[in-house]
Amino acid sequence: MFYSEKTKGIIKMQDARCKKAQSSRLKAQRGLLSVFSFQLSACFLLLISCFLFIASKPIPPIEVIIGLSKQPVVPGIAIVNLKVIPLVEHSNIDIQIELPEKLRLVSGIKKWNGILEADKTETFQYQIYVPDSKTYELKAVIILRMITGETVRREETLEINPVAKKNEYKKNHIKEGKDRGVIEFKGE
Amino acid sequence: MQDARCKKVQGSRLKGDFFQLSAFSFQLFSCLLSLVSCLFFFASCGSGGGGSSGSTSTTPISGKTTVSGAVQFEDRTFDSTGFTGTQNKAVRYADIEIVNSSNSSVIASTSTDVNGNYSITLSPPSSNVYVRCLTSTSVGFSKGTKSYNIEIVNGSSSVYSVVSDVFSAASVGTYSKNLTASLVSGAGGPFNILDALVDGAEFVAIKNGSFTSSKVKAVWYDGNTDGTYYSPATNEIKFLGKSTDNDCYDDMVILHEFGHWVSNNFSKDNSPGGTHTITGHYDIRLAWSEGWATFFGSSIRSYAGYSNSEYYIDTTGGSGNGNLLFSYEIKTPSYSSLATGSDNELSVSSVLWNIFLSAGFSGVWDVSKNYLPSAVEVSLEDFWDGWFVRGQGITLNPYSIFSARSIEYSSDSYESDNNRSQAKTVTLGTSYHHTYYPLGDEDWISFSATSGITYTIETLNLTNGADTHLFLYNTDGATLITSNDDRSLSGTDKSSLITWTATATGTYYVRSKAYSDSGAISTYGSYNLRVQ
Repeated sequence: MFYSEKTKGIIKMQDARCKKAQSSRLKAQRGLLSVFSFQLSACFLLLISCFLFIASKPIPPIEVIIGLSKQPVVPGIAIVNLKVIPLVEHSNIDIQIELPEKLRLVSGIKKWNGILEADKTETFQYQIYVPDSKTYELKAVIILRMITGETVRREETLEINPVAKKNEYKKNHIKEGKDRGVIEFKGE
Repeated sequence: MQDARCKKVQGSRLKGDFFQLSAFSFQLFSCLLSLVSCLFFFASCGSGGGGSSGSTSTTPISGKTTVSGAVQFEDRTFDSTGFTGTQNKAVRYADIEIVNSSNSSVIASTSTDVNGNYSITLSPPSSNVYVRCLTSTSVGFSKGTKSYNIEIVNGSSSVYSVVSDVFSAASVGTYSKNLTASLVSGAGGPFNILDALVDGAEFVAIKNGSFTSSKVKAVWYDGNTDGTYYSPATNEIKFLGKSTDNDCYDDMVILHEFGHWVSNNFSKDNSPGGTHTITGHYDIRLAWSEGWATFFGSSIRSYAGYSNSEYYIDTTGGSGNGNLLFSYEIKTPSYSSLATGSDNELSVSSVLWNIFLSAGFSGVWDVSKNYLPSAVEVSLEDFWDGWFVRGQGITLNPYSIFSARSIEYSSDSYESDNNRSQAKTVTLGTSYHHTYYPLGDEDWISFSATSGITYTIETLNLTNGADTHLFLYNTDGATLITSNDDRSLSGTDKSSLITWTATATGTYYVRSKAYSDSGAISTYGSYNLRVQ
């Protein structure tokens, strides 16, 4: 616990008779400070947990992450990693990469199907020829067939050569008010 | 001193009264002025012809200038396979504003009715105006005609709207302005979110008798990758607008999140949050929270008369039919063999839905609103307790509904075994299935041990949120040798494990109880007990 020099000085000035009382007072103050610190910490933790807790929507039992492990030097090869984590035992998984017309798959399996181990990450790697610096979007489509018969689908996209997008509005967005924001679409 | 204080309070009260009277007088005066100006206006404009403004036809009606019309949005129909088509639907209870196009000021406001119709009188008439319908219901809320205040905004808290062309309403007559928020324009999505939330608010208002003054604020915008979730910290709902997962037309996803909102505003929710899959087993508070949210969304859609109300449907949001990400139904439910236990959200949804089908919604709502807020850690266990505490057990004993999902809120076959004298002798190497039920239940066993032999006493296959705590006692059944709460130091595995070497031959006792010290979440639970 930190006490200022002034507080320390005051404590030293106490006579012997007061020292005992001071000591108990100090203990009480320390106790109060501790309680206060504890409460403060508890409040802080509560606040943090409040902000951390979000109720997200249900997701199917498969995780999919897609990313570039190597930015293409255009024209050149982009290396794309697709990580798939089935979270349950299943009877089949279809994994397919859909490329825009101008992109060419140099290596990697465009369509794969089989069974993967539950809760284990499997990485599928693709080498893709990128002809120019235009922005292209490739899509991974994953279909998981559960042992109970149902299928679930996940789609993830990846932009190659992404460009910083402006805050684009639709064609018919015509105004945003000054006093409060109103986005207006033509409604007729 | 007290007198002085009282006088001060009285003084403030008098000042307050005076202020209120002043405000009242001012309002009275304003009303009088409005009346006079109206009369003056009618007197001066009463003989004016209808006239027309642009493409708008006008009909003189007793000297008033009225703008009216209908507002619709383009809805997307769906079933368990994804989108099936589109249809126009009324925009209900939304704010309508007449805006002066030259300075963007709002000169009159009203709201649409249940059929999406509106009618508003302009006083005085005005030229260069347009009609704007917003994705909010604040006008009806402020005027007391609708008890709920809903708002759909973008990431900068700007509200969406559809607008008419600019026209002149300077002449007496009725100006017809119909509006449609179309799918292709991008306006249909936020109006669909509003529509789903209006369904939700209507349902709560009917079932609860009233809504709440809290605003239902939903954030959605094209390109939003932040996620679809409800945040108790801000009391806001957010929806994805990704190209591969856009939730603005996923009514069940919208109503699932609204279910969280309702839980937080009318009941209690202790969910620790986090990612959750429909077949996963999690903290029973999370399973309750998510299971409730899906159930509640389905209940809203059932009440509103939609088909497939027992289906949760999530699409990519892509154009055209289909585009299903995944769907599941909560009656049977889907993934039936995986949807078990109070720690699985689909299992929880299914239990609630089947209670709803058997006994209606009122009992579920009664428990949720009047019992759950008093629970320490809200889960399906508390719903079960509350069902009986609130007297709903007279209408329906939900035991079979729970047991169909392997939720065992019942005594196990070894009862009574609640103390040393009732301890059941076990065979080494055999697993015995137990439940902690009713509240405070203990399971005692005894086994023969030989000096110098090492024994493993453990709990296995914990389900329904079980958090076991084992105690090993000496041959007197009273002297504690050792105990174990969680097998793993991290506490992630709630099962218990005692490894012990007997120092003397004899009969030893094991007490098993649900962990009940600080941080305990469950009071019930199922598990196997084995000594070997």
